[in-house]
Amino acid sequence: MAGVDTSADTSEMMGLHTEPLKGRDIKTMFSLENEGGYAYAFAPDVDFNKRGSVDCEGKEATEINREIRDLIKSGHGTVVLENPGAKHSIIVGILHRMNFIVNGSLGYFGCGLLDGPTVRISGRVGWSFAENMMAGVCVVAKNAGSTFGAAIRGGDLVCKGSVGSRTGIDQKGGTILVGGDTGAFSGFMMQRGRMVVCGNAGKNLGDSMYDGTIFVGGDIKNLGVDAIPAELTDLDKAWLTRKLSQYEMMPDKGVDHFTKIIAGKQLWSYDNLEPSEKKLVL
Amino acid sequence: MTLEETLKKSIDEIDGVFTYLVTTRDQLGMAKDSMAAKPMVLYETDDMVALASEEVAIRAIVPHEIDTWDPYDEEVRVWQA
Repeated sequence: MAGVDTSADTSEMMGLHTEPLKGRDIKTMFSLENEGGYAYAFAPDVDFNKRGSVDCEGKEATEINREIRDLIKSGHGTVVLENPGAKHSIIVGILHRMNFIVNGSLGYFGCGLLDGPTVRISGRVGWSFAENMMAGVCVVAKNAGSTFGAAIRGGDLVCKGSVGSRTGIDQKGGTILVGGDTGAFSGFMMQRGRMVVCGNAGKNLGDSMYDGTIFVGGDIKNLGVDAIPAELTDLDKAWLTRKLSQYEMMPDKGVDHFTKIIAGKQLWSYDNLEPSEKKLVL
Repeated sequence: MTLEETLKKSIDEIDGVFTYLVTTRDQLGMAKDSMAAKPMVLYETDDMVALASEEVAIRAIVPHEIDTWDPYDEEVRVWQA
């Protein structure tokens, strides 16, 4: 595959994971220079400067999503949603680069299965926002519900307010940034990626996490099974400073006070043998 | 025992996951289980309290943009009329 870099340990240096991948897993990093590797071949040709809008008032989610897709088909690279009214399942399955501006709040399962777009939301979002996001950026100006960023694999997911429980459950990559507090079981079964919580974290933080890194700026009620504190390195501080500054979320007192949480790896029981190798051993 | 004390006790005594509301003649209370597994969206102003399992239900009576949040695990709230 063009533009894929397998030589460097970039992903480990960035704190995305510490697990030495081998066997059936192959570690790949997309090259930043590979413009074509970021979108699917069937991605529509949109003009970011061509702006269209959808008024969600009185419409069902299906109708709203259909209007969004019609705008995309006609080359609109920026879509503005007016009066979203906290409706569910809006802006889903967008698999290419474009912009969304949401003037208001979304309900459950907003922005699910995204792979590339940049979404800015002026209100709050309900449960399971940006579930399974693969790439792109979502910025929520106010609060978010539970399971924020469940199972995301990539991209930046930002909530400037507080989020509910089980934030980043089953997170497989990417970055979750929370300006306020997060609830219980955040980072539950986390497997890759990074989560940053500027406020407090509820009970059982990082419970049963396999890998990845959680940074918390406030108090942690308690840690979950196999989640342990780790040293905050200069690389971590530099990354936190850059990332939080990027989204204008830098705390007044800097990042030195953040607590770093990683997996204790006592629950690991992986089998890295290929099926064929296993037959030989057996 | 006050309504608030009763609600807090119920979190330990009720089995399973739940978020529930209870009303008396002059009070409204809510309690959320220790797993925070059932949804609850809260909207509160000086003269109004609205609770629902999803914000879109609150929007049916408050159509404009509002600031809402999800109560956390084991959270108990009581409002007096």
